[in-house]
Amino acid sequence: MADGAVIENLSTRKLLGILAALGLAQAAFFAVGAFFAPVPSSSMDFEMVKCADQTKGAAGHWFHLRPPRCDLIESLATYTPSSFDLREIVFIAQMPHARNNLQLEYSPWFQFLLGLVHVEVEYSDVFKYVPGAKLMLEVRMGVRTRESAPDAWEEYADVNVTRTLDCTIDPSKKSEGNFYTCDTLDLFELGSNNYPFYLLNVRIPIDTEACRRDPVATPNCQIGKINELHVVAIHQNGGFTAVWLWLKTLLCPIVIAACYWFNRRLSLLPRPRLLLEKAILALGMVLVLLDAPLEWLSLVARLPCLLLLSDLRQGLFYTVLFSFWLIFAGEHLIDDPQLNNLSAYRINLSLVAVASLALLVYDMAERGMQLADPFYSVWSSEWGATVAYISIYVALACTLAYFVFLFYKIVVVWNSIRRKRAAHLYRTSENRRLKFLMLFTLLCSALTIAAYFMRQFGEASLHGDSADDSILTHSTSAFFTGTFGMWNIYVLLLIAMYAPSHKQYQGAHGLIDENEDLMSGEERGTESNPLTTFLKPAQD
Amino acid sequence: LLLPLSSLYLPLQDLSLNIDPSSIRMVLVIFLPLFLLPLANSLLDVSWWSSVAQLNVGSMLSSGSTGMTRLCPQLEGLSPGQGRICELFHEHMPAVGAGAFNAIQECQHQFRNGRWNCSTPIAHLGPIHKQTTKEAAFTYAILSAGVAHEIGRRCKQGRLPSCGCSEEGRPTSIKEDWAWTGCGDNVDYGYRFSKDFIDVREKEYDSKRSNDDGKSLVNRRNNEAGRKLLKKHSSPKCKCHGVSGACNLKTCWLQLPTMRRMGDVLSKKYHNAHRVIINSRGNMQFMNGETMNGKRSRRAMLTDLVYLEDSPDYCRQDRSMGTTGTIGRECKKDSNGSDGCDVLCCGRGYNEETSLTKSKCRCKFEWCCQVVCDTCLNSTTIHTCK
Repeated sequence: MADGAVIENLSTRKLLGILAALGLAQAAFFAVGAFFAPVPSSSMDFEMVKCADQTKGAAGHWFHLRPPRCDLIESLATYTPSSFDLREIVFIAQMPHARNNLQLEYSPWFQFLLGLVHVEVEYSDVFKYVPGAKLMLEVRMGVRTRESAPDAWEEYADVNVTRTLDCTIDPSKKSEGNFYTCDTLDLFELGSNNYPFYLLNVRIPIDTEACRRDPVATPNCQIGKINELHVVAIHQNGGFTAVWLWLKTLLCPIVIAACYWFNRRLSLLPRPRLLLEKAILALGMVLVLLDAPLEWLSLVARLPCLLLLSDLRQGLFYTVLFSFWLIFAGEHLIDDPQLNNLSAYRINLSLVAVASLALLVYDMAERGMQLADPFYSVWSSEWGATVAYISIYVALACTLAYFVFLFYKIVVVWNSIRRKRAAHLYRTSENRRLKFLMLFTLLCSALTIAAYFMRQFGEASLHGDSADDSILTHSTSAFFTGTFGMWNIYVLLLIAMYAPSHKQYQGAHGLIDENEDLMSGEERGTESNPLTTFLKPAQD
Repeated sequence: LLLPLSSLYLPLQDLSLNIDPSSIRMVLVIFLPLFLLPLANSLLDVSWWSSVAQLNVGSMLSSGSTGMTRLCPQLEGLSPGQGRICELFHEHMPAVGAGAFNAIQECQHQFRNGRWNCSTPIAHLGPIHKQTTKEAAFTYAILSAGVAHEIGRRCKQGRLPSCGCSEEGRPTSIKEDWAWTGCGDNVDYGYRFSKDFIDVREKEYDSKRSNDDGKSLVNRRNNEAGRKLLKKHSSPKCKCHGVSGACNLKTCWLQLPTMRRMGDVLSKKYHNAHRVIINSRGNMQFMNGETMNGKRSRRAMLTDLVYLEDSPDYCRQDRSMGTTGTIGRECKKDSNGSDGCDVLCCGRGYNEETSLTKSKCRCKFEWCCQVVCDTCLNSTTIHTCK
């Protein structure tokens, strides 16, 4: 084991002092989210306006509201199209809206733009909706910069999007004038938000011939009587991005410095590094990766890959964190002859690896593919959905198995320590370092889970008469900055507490017996005595 | 007797409403002055609704905002405050009109079987508004909900450039606000506009006529109940979009209920409406003694409809009361409900008439998009009240 780490040599008073300071820092993280940052993301709702296009799209015109270029169809129910393929009906959404007589603009600070489509299907005895119907949208997405003319839209994507329309209706409501409840469909996801204006022109073409032949396989034959299309565009709020980025920018150098310091301490040791120390260093390094404020780049350049990259960074952090817990628990099994050997953990670590890989596969299939086609969805094809389901279930199963195993291991470690303590074979300091980390980890995990549920609860109470007064809805950001800060503090504290103590490393070498001697030495006694006396009653 | 006839319909179209829009326009252009004329003088309370409701058509005619500014003086019966709002937000007026129109249609749908069927001899609405009956309470509530609904809807369509973003009163900083915190909800905007535009009328009446017997108070409360219910029945929809689509990031938005749903909700409230009296201090008080100030009852009651007066007898035609009577109404002979001839005809009996009607029958739906029907001649027996 790592002998003479800072945690073992620190006086209780100093430790409590440090913990108090970190507690304050944690409160500060929370406060920053609560008082400076707005909610993380907002949505804008667009009810698509219907325009008539006599050219049926052949001319390649763009249809938009501002400036007006739309032969408005007030209601589809009263519109008589001239042909059966319905290409002359164009659904348009011009994003973002104008508000207070001002054309709003999307900004790179919004980081991403997520588009959903909600189809309003009215019950009809004639045009029946069949569950599982395929909806195919012909989507053209246009973008415009601030400099270009108001009607100079540049084509960004021109794709056919196929989704499965899942709607339900209460049997008692099956009469004209009532609407199905339909699931919202994913439409697009842009990994960066570098254009101020977007325009969607959507058509729902119907191939009557094919529908007659094979209504199940042909899209748009069984979609029922569509009344409206709604698009919901979700973006990250600029204020949240700013607060988040500054947090990262401030934290990143601190974590880098801590890693450097930890590494230096290790290299000064006259013995090779222990596995646990390597694990902590690795954790520090991935935290540096996670904290690196790469998003600043997105403000100056078009980098749609940043969304995927931030997923990957988070995934990597969790992978290393989970691996670390496993190693940490294992390294406290003193009797284990295979100590300090990474390959001893290969079976358990493979659980983490498989879970991470499965999620990586899913993320690459979804967000990775969206780099090439923003309208791509892995769920839209049967094959893709199977892959997605498999990877998610595999990841879930592995994570579950991992936690069961981790829990088992902790129980084993706990019992073995108790046994040894009873036989006076175990040092108090060993116990202390384990207990400390265990409690701290438990606290952090509990807080993360609590924050997660508070957030869900806050969002659930969005609705209700006094929605505006709810504290929880406004503190969503606080939970984000709070948990983010907490895991940073967690890793920093690990680095600081489990680094070899400077009081130790000069004369130390790898033998435990000698350290036992040093423990009772005068130089150490001054620090460790008040600590042991303090902790004694707690351990008994 | 069968007349085979195949017809073609398209999936996006409503079978029953398959009329050329231009013909609707023509009909409405002709009838528009007819609607307004008799109302303007005698029935001040209602005329503004009726005239505003025609704006739906007006907007179709001009199809845009051209000439909208001149529209406000033409609207009959607007109160001074409403006139000012109309001038300021003239592009909102077609939405107000369409909202009122939808509300009236929904009202007529909800009460199609009742003795009161949401109609009057003159136009859609009658002097029902001058009284504060249960029926008036329903009408007030559904109209203000309808207006809020339509405003919110047009905001979503991007057809109202002045929809509010976040809080009112900070228009200069709107770009920064939006970039920093995103935009407010359309439902909220519709709610606020409906409140401002409709309630301003009742407030003005308060100051002018101090002894309107608390009608303004009651009307305002019913207006508010309609809007509150609209907000309350907006369903939140959420999307998870965290790492790998996990729910660590989630965004929710409100979805407006359909007007049919609002009609259903409000008609339930109509059946449970509370009779109130105005006490000497000018406050509302429940008939059965429970006060408005009781904390619990107040919270429970905010979305309930209230009324002051008993409903008039809807069996008889009485123009002064604004009732049309049920003479000539179609009824169902064997029904025990409110549409049964016994109830609807108020015991006066009914006429039986057999007529031949053409209707589409034996419709076959061919995938996709095509409906092939036969036309049948049916003999139907119609019962109408004496």
